Order: sequence, then C-alpha cells, then structure tokens
Amino acid sequence: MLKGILFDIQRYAIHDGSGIRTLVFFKGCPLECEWCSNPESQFMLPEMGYFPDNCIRCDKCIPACPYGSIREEENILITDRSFCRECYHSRQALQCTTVCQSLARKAIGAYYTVDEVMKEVLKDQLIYRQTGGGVTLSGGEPTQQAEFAEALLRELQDNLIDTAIETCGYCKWENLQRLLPYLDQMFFDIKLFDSEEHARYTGVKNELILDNISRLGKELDNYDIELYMRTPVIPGITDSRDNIENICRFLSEQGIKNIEFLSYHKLGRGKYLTIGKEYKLYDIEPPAKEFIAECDGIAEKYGLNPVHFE
Amino acid sequence: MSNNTESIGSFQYATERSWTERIENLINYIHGIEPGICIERGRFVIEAYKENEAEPTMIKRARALEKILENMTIYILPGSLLVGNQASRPRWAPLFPEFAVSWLEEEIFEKNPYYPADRPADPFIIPEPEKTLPEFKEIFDWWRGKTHMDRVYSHLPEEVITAQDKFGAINEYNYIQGGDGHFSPDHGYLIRTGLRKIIDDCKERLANLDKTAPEYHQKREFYQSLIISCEAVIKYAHRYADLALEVAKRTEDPVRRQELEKIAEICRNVPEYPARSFYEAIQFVTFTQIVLQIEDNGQGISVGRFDQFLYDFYKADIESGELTYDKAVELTENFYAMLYTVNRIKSWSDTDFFRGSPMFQNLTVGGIDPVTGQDATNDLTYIALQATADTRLTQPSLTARMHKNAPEKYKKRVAEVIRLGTGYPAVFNDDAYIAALINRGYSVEDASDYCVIGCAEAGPAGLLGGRTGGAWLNMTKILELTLNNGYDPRTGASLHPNKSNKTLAEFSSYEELEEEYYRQLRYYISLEMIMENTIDLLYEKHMEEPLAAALGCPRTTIPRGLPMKKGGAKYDFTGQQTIGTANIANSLYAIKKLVFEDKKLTGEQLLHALHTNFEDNTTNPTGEEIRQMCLNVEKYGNDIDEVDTLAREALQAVCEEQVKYFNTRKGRGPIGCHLHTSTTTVSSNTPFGRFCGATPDGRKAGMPVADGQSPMRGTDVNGPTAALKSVSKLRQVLLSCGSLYNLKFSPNDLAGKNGLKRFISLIDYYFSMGGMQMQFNVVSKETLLEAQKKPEQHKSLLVRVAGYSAYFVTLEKTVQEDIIERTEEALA
Repeated sequence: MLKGILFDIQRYAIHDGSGIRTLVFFKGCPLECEWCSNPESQFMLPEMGYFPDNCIRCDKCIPACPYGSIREEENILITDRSFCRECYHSRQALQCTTVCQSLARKAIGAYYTVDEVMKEVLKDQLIYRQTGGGVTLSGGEPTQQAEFAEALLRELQDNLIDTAIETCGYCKWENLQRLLPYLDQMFFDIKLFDSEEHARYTGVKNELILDNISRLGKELDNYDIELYMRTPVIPGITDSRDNIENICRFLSEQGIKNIEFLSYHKLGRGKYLTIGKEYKLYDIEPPAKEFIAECDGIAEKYGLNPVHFE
Repeated sequence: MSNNTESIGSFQYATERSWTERIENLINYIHGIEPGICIERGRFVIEAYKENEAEPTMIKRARALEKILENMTIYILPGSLLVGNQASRPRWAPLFPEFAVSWLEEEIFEKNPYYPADRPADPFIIPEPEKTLPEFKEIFDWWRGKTHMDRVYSHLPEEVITAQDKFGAINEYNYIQGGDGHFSPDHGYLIRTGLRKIIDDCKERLANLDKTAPEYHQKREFYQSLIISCEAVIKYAHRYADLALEVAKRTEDPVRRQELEKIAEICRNVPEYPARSFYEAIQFVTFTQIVLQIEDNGQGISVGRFDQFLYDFYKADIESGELTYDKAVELTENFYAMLYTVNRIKSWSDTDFFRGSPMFQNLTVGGIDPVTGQDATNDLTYIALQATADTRLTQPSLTARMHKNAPEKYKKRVAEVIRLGTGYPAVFNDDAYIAALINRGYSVEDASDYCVIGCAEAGPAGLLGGRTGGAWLNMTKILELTLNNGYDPRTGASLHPNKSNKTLAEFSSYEELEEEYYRQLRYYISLEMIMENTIDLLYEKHMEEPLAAALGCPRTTIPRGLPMKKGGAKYDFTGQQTIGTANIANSLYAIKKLVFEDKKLTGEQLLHALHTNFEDNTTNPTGEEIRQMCLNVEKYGNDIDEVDTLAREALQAVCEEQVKYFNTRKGRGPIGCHLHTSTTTVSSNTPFGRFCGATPDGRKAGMPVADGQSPMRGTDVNGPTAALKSVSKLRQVLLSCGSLYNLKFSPNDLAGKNGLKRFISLIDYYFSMGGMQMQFNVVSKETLLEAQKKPEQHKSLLVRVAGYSAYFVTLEKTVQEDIIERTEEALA
C-alpha cells in the first residue's frame, strides 16, 4: 500500500495559507538550508529525537542500544550519535525509543497511508469551511514523495477541502506538474538568486529551481492556483539588495505576481540539539521590520504584489 | 510559522478605560476598604427571634428582616448615584448565624484553621476585636446547637457524612453552612409593578382566605410574611431618602446637592411604586438585589437579562431626551459598583471550593427574543459590555448569550472585552442551552428567555425556583474507591464494597471494572439525593424566605400562596455539579490500554503504584516508569475518539442517573422537580484533589483534579480545535443545569483584527458542534508568574477561576498554580 513518511500533522495552523489549516509535514528534503526551522524534516527516515528534560533516568536505553552508543558520564547520559544513521537504516531501528516510557527518546517520523492522513485532517473540516482554511502540505519537501502527495491532494479535493503546498521547488518538473491539478494555493521558495551562493547555504545549486519557476510561470494560466513566491530574509545571507532585486526582476520576467518576504526567526534553534545537529547561525538576529518593508518596496518597483500572511 | 515571540503582557494594563471621574473615584474608594465581618445583622436576628418565639417560621423570618432593615447602618457612597447597602461597610459580610456558627466560632476563637483576618486567601478583618468579640461569643452561645447546620447533621445518615467529610466523594457545605440564593428575581415584572401592588394583592388574598380550610394557617403566614417583608423594604428605601436629604443639607457642592435630592425623590417612589425612568428602574433593581442578600446569604442572586427588561425604560428616556447613552453607561457602571459591595463570609473549608469571594451575581446580555426568536441585542447590550470593560470588577459576573444569527459587531465587542483579561464575559450558546431546557420540560418561550444564574446554570428570571446548585460529585474519588473495593486508602474507612468484592488487582476484564465503577457512581449519587432531601426539608421547615417568594417568583408564589421551597415556582430543579470527567476518561483508558489490551502492567502492579504514589523504586517497572506509562497513554482533549468516548459515557451516566431522582417539590406545583447535572466547578477541583490518591491517569496524590468537563490541564496538546472537538463530543444537551469549559489564552494570541477574528471563529466552531459554554482566561503566563512574585503590583489582575473571576493575588498559592498550569491554548 502507498505510504508516505511524515514527521507531524499539526492542526490549527494559521500562518501557512488562508484560514485555519492543518499542516501535513513531509519528511525528507533535498536542501539543507542553514536557517531551516524544521531540521528534523531533512532526513528521509525516522530518526531519534532526544528530549533530556523528559528523562527519568531509568537508563533502559543504555542496554537497548545495539551499538553501545549511550553511556553515563558524571551522572549525565551521553549519546554518541555517530552510529545513529546506520541504526536508522537497519531492521532493528530506534530500539532506544521503544524502551523509553517517558518520551525522552522519541522516534521522529512515521509512515502513513493516505487514509490515515485523511482521518486526521478531516477532523477539522468544519472549521476549514467556516474560516476559508484547508490543508497545507509542508515539510520537508512534499515533491520528494510526489506519488503520495498527489494521492493525498486528490483525496482532499474529493472531500472539497482547499489545498496548499509549500515547496522549495527542487525537483523534476514532472513531479511538480502532477500536483498542479489538485492545488488551490502554492508557496514556492526562491531563496538566493546566485547559484553558487545557493549551493553554499542550502547544499544545492538553483538552476533546477529557477527552471521550474519559469515553467510554472508559463503554465500557471492552465490551472486555478494562487501562487505565492517566498523569500526568507536571512541577515547576511539572503538580504543583500542585489539578491532581492535579482529575485524580483526574475519573477517579474516570468509573469509571476505575488511574493512574500519572510523574516528569519530563531524558533527552530532548539530542534537542532534534539536531533544532534549543529546550528550555524547563532549570532544572527531577525531583520528589522523596516527592512522587510524595503523589500516590499523593491517588489512593487518590479510590478510584483508583496503579501504577508500575518 | 510565527515570528512574533515577544510577549505583549496582559491587555488589562494596556487598554484605556472610558469611565467618568465619578466612577473611577467610587471604585477606588471601594477597593480601598478591606473586607470585614459586620456583626449588626447577627445582633438583630437574635432580637427578632426572641421577640417572636411563638410565631411560625415565615413570620419570624419576616420580622427578622424587618428588624434588620429598620436598624442596620446605612450609608451613601461618595459620588454614587445609587444607594443601598448590605452591611455597615462596602465589601463587609453580614453575619447569618441562623445557618451555622460552629465554623466561625472555631475560626475566631480557636484560630482553627485560621483567624479570619489571617486566612491565606479571602481574609476578613474583625473590627475592634476587644469590643466586638464578646458580642460574637454571645451570638454563638445563643445559636449553638440550633442552627441549620446543626439540624442537617442531626438528620444525615452516617454514610452520607462519611462520604462527604471523610471521603470527599460528595460535598454540600455551601448549603449546609448557608442559604440557597441561586435565582434571578423577576426584575422586569417588579419594576413595572412596585411592591405596593404586591402588598395589596397579598392583603386581598389574605382577606379572602377560607379560615376553615386545612391550609389556612400556612397561607395566612405566607401572605402576612410577604406583607411584612415588602413593607420593610419600602421603609428601608425611605431611610435612604431621609439620609440623602440629610447629607444634601451638609453638602456645599450644589451639583452633588441636587443629585442627593434626586436620590431622595427616587427612593420615595421605588421600590414602592413602578419605576418612572431608566434611572429609577436601575435603583429599583439595586434595592431588590441587595435586600435579598440581607434576607439570605446564598450566592447567585442573579440580575438576569439586563439589556432586555430595562430596554423600554432606556428607549423612552433617550427619546424624551432625559437620558443620554453616556449617562446610561455611568449609571450601569455605578450599578456594577453597588453589586460589588455585596459580600459573604464562608467557612474556610467552603472557601476552598469558592476562591475569590464570588457572589455569582450574574448579569446576562444578548441572545434571542423569546417571542420572535430573532436577535435581541440593543444599546444596553453594548452598555453592559462597556461597563465590564471599564470597571473590571469581580462582580457582577457577565454572561454573553450567542446564537446562530448573532451580529458580528456584537461578537467582536464580546471578544474585545474578553481580551481585556477580566474573565468576563463567559459566552453561552443559545441554540444548545435552549434545546437542553426544552428537553427538561420548559416551554420554547421560557427556555428562550433564559438568563444565567450563579455560575453557568440557566433558567428564566422570575420563573425558576428550586436550587440551581446542590451537591458536588467528585468522580475521581469514586473511581479510586472502585479500584479499592469501596475502601478508602487515605482514611482507612470503607463504605460500599464492589459487587464482585474485587479490587483492581483482581478484576478479570475491563468491562468488569467499568461495571463496578458505574455501580459505585450510582451509589454515591443516591447519597447526594439523601443530602438534597435533608437540606430541602430543613430549609422549608426552618429557613423559609418570604422576601425571596415576593421578589423571586411573585407571579406564581403569590397566586399559589406557597414559598419557593414549598413549590411556589413555575419551574423547579435541583442542580448537581460534577467534577473530574477528564480524570475518569483518562484513568479508565489508561487501565484499559496498559492492563487489559497491551498488558504492559498487571492490575496488581498498577494498584501498588497508586498506593505508593508512583514512588516505589523497588518494583520493576519502577513507580516512576509506571507513572510515565500512565501519562503517555492518549488523553481526553486531543480529539481521539477512543478516549473521548469514555469521557462522554462517564458524564452521560451521571446525567442519566441524576434525573431519575425527584426533589421535595415533586407534585406540589412546579414543572420538573428532579435532579439534573452541571459541570460547574468553581475552585472545587483543588480541594477535591486533596481527597484523592494517585490515579491511573498519572496524576499524583493530592493534586487538583480536572474541572467539570475541561481536559486535564496540560494534557490537551493538539491545539484548540482538537480540544474543542473533544469537549463537544460530550452530550452537552443533557447538561441542562449548565456546562463549563475553561480555556486560557495569551493576550498576544488575540492581538489585532486577525486575532479577534480567529478567536470568534473558535467560539463559532465550538458552538456549531453543540458546545454550550466557554469562558476564558486571557493573561500571559509571564504575567501570572510575575504577579505571584510581586503581588503588590498586580492587585487588579483578574483571572477566571471557574464560573466567576477573582483577583489573582488574593487566591491561594495552589489555586494560583492551577490557573497558571491550565493549558495555554496556543492561538498563534
């Protein structure tokens, strides 16, 4: 049976599309942006999240780990994560989470059928209708699991639920194209215009993304989709005037109208520790409100329509 | 994702008030007075009882009221446009020794558990103790052994006393130690009729009585006592007229002098004759509210549909130019200040259940017109909301009725006032409440005209007698007793063994456990009934209230010649409050999953962990590991059908069992006359929790249980839509006595136009799924924590406790903690 890997289904979301929505978070992303606020979304298998505040020191995880990677040192549990990835790929994955009663070690990511996702998202169908909300596919990167995403979107449309997707646009055009008939709103990231810079901060070059934007610009008229491009404003990385100007000029040339400049925020920082990853942007502060307004001004100069969902 | 992480703090500090200087000064003046005990009433009641020993109860009670109203200290508050006072100073509580003295005697003379002025919450000073204490002693000596409470205890079977005092499985201190209250006077009728007409009517009926009829004496006493009481109220109003003129003479300010002369003129007219203006009507209502609180110390004497019964007066005065919108706001705010002066001292043990000195003088606005079914909001609706926004007092409680076609403007205004963080108004769903009342036999018109009485209990003003409040039912304790075969591990006492004679260690199936739990539940509900019958019997024999009969339900009591407790009202029910739905659902589900389905634990292991408060580390798994297993089983409040179903069944079982029992008015005239259920909790979940050992939901011994029907705090983690949906799965239509659901929001969640819209859409969402009532705490957690640290800077911080709001800093630490913990539903 067709299954997708997700890391969360979050109800009552209000910042990712219109009205009150449910977010379906896909796990796995081809990019690894340094500012990513959902670092647990990047790796495409279930992985272990560690929440030391929940630990009651039953120490059952120590013998449970097949790699012997958990040990006590000066009364503190230390997890050597060098074998974790190997564990995730193995048949006996995540033993440490199955013995943990206090949710200090928790598996992040699980496989769902379309029916299982539908059961969750249908729970709020009344408030979608009352508030003009719906369901947003987010991530991670939904197009990485295009077959599952398509099946889910089709089912949502069959239930008259409005749909939206958040994508980084790094995928084969066919994988994006197959979703278009089932989408009401689309949020498409364009982070850095310079391909080398893009590679430096996200791990991949941006030609594929720009190409997909161009195609989308041409084909958009065939669909009934509200398209919003999104540029995360990361001080010192994406906030150069050049970058903003180039993005706006490019979008304008593709005949694309809406853009939202998203302020960098620090809320994802804690999650890096949870999954044993390093966060590189500790000394960055969110951009000033005035700067976002300036970006909006640049967009308008190029005939774009800057928007903000709160 | 939101990047708005900065805390806006409490809106209470950020919003401008639009009150007049008069109201600001008046309220500051009242706030400056420490609550105290006023001995006067205690003194006069004894005198009256001594002088009227041979008289029947009703006459004796009427004479007592007459004596008090004639002799008590009266005052006019500085700048106030309205008059009337309950005790010798604002916020002082009169003595009601005829109900109970033993607790007060112990508190004052044994300091057990606290001297009233030294209580950790809701303290009362005793003025000039060296002078007054001997008189207190005298009063206590005279009443000892013959109060209402003494009688109740001498009548109650031992098992009921054990269930209440030892187990805390049921509790009715409030009506054992005090009067009933809990009705909404027939204000609309009274202000258009006047007491003189009621007196004349009673006189005529008295003259026409058949003196040979067996019920002659009962009717004679009834009419005579009403005449005495109403005359006493008229004289009391005339005392204010005299006082106003006297003060006017001494007043140099010509404007104030004129105001006082106007007060005198009004008090000569109302309540004796019908009100001639909005101003007179509101003074009439003030007198009615206050004198009823002098006759009886019961809570919940509620104002009713303020914007409906006063609207004709308002409209006429606006049209004639005698009144302006702003003047009506000022009078309404002045009225709120008058209600705020009313107070009651409860025993410390009962205070535990009712933190923050709530009087439950509920004022209702909005809703539909009972005849046309169309929206009935008007200027006065907005004026009442404005008055709450400006005065930010704990009293009156404000109720906003909502319905399918309620105007968006009204919803917005309601949301804005809630956002101020005073806990008011609570919102009520007309569509659900009206259906619930019709299901109990109310006519469509009467049901549609409901107001909120007390906490969340609904009924039409002037038509509902009975008692909207009664015994509390502590379901969590009943489950604990079931798991232990009727034995109480805390006290070692045993009352009612399981039919199977098994404990959790021996149950062979989940079904067996469930069956035993419901059997125990039915047993404890039968004890509640014994309690209610006892209290009702003693109320009607010894405590009957003539003034309540005259002002409460005059359109039925007077024609029938019967006071309310003998069947004088059109409708009559006895409400029962049910606590801890969430604990039952979560505990049953945890046992079902861990013991019977997943078999992670044996019943014996779990029972041992409960007995040792999850602290035995010598077992495998350890106590704490078992607790973690319990905590991490799915919980009610997250829209998970399997556990929500258990919550629905648990509450439904209470509702369906309670309506099988009839109260003492059955067959004596009123419609209804049976028990019915509410989930109003007040602050009882904290003291009830102290009676309960550790529970299978992972709750530790002594910790608060969940309030009425809300999810257990901290366990609803799927956001507000999931929580609302879980709660809406309960068959709320059965909660004809009232539904109570507490939600807490941070003010920054509600910021801006979008915040308001979202907030309103959540209310609409809950109500469209059959939800009945919602009330809100809107303060940031930071604000509350700071208020705990610096109480002196947060004196005016109001929070919603349950059916009412209280000043956060006056609450006891554990209740403060409970409020802080209540899940902060993240709206952003």
